[in-house]
Amino acid sequence: MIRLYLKQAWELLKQNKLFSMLYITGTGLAIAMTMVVFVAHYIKVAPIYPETNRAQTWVLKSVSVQYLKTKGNSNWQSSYKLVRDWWYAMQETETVSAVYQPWGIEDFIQPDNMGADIKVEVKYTDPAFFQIFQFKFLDEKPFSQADFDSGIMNAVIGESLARRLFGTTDVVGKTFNLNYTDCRVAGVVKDASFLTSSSFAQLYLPYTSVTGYDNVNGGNDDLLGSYIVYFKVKDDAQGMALKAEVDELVRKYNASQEEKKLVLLGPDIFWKSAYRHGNAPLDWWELIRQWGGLVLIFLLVPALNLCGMISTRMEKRLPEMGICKAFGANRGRLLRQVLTENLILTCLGGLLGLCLAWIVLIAGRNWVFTLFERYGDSVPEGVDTIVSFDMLFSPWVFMVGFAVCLLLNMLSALWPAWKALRKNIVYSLNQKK
Amino acid sequence: MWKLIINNLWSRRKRNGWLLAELILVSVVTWVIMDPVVVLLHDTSLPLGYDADRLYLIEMASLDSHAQGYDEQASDSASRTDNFFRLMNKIRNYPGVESASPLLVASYLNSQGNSSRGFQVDSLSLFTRVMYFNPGQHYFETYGIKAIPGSPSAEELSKADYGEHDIVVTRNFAESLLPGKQAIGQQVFYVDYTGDTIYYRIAGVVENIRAYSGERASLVTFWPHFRWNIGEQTRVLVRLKPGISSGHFMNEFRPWMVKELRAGNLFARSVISYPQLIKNYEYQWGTSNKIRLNAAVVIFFLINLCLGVIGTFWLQTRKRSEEAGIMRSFGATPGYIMRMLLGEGFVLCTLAFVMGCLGYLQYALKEGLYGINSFMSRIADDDWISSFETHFLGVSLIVYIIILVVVLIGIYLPARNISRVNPVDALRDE
Repeated sequence: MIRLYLKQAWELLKQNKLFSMLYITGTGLAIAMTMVVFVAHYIKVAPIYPETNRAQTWVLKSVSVQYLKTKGNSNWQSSYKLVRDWWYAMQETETVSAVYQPWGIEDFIQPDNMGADIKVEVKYTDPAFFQIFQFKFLDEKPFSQADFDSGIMNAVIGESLARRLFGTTDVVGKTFNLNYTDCRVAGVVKDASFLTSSSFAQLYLPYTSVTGYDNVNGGNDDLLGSYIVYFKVKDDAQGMALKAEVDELVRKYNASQEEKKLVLLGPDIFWKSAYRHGNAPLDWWELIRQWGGLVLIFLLVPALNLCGMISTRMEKRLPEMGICKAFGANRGRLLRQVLTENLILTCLGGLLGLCLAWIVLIAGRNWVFTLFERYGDSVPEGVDTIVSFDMLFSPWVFMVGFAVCLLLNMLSALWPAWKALRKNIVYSLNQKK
Repeated sequence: MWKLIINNLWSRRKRNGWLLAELILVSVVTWVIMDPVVVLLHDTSLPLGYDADRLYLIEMASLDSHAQGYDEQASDSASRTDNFFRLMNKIRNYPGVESASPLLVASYLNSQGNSSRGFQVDSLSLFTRVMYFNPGQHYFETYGIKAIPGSPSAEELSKADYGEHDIVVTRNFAESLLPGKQAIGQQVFYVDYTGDTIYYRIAGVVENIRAYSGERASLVTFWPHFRWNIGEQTRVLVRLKPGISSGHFMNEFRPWMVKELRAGNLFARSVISYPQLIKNYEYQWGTSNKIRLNAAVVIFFLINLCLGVIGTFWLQTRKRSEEAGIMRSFGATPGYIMRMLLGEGFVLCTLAFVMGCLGYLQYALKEGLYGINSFMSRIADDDWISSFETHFLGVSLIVYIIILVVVLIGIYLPARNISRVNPVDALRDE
């Protein structure tokens, strides 16, 4: 039966070239827009190199301190004291890593040829970072715990920066000047994409190599500082246990304090933390309204378009439907037939849309993704945003693409087809001149 | 002709109903999306109030204590200041440089950081942006900020002998806080966090400026900064002489800067042109992204609308051709038929647009139209964007024109075929 539908749909497609073209283009555009939005979000949360452990990674970004007397509060991230005394000592986790992100510090490499300084993105972290984020080492290994403990400037370098500086990736043991300080290459990794922002950097160094990494920042509260903390857990159960352990620590701490209260918004599982801005709680309704609304409108407008076209076509096909009915076909069967025929067109449109989306995402990789951020975080100079195979060709992308096609098909074809099929046989047959 | 158009539309109301629904939806959606684009484009195109052309910003930095070449002797405040002046002299003597001014606080035009202060006169209180300048360093003329008539000139304001509580203000500040008064010499005050009232004397008034791109001309006060805190937040503003090309200057200046602009632990790190700095600022604060994203979405909807109109009219070509054939045989010209078909589009579009706009108006009356969410922008500007009525009508007109053009293009393509039909061919089946 399905084969018959397919055959008939193919014939109709060939007969009504204009209708098919308009239909496929309209659907293609809608699917392309929807898929661009989907892929941008997919990249934020899915397991993508080197953040393949996202499902087991919990993140603590925001830390707040409320001052009970003055009713004021300060918001930032974890201080070194919290990292050292609390987070590194957590029990319900496999690995803990901290990334030091001091505000306003920029890093520059001084090239040997006395050219202008090269601005580089550096992540100041610890050796555990490379256990949580699964980097592929092209040469050697991460800086060691001994390097970290003594604050030696032994760096892990991204392959593209290695090529830019030395013309090769075979650079372990070589040195270069970072902020006028000697830096030795300890290992070379396959580049992380700018889109996987938790792991992206061109250079990774022990945070202990930064002067003042253990300072209480600017005389502020000793709980607040510049560290983002990543916890790798075994499974969701351990994640929940970790959260409970953190909550218990905070509860005990607050019970011992009279003047202030520590408030943590987290740790969150990775995908939740990707949508949390600053210290504000996640507003799901706002997210759903924003993105769901956008996708719905992306589909609704073309659906109305297609509704109009399908209803015109159904009028033309009424005599054919009348004949089918006269030979005993019931309404449900004819409806299935019309929907299947349309689904084929929709899927062709979907394929076109998917290709369009890929073209847009690849050609506009340096700016398309930043469109969906509240504040533009521009791609650093000299960095080409990597859009990898696993970002674009994941089974999820195809599944969602097909689901969107189905939805669009139902939205656009169901109502006009149902209306047309309600006409009785005599009326339908009378439409034939 | 209008009667015929309405009759035609009515007799095909079922088919046109879908198109009408789409048009209404697209009208509302285009309104919602175009409003921020119109406002942002309007605001970013307003005059800056200073001259950003031929203006450059040099970022300075100093060596870290464990960096190679770090000079312990040159690390004290006096040596740093001496070295900084040495570099300033080098910059001022560089060929093509008209003037240069240090910026020692991270609150300058389109800076990443910012500073603000609420000022009062009597019971009137307003927030202002605060900019800092070092007197005697050509600040105002380097920026190209103009003094208003009756105030000391920009050059005089740059080198005046300021007291600790003297400030220079913009025209809108003077007009808002001291309406109808000669502002120079007047006092304004603010109450600090301890509750003390601190008075400031207005030493000069300059023309309005847009301190941050994306904002309209906010109230700005310029505060003299007397300290020479040379460190990470040290920048130098440079204005080139007229006629020097930007590309040529950057090509020559950059390598010279890397080689020559270093003294003690201090060195020049980068140089950026002001238009580029403003662009970066707009990007960072989401202005560019909002315009790009909204423009992309509007184009998507308009293409859809165009496809919808083409589809609806093209799929009716055969039937409409028969009608057109009859009309032609009764003497109608192709031009008349074309006008009639375009007229159908016009009526449909206008009807949908009015319905969509009325719907959106209800929302806008409740929620307000798009405005910049800055507490600095409370001052009522007298441009059309600031008034609800003209803002609504202006954006409505833009949306209407866009949709109408798209609909007419969509109809024109099939209408050309219909209107040129040969009466004999069209009526063969009749």
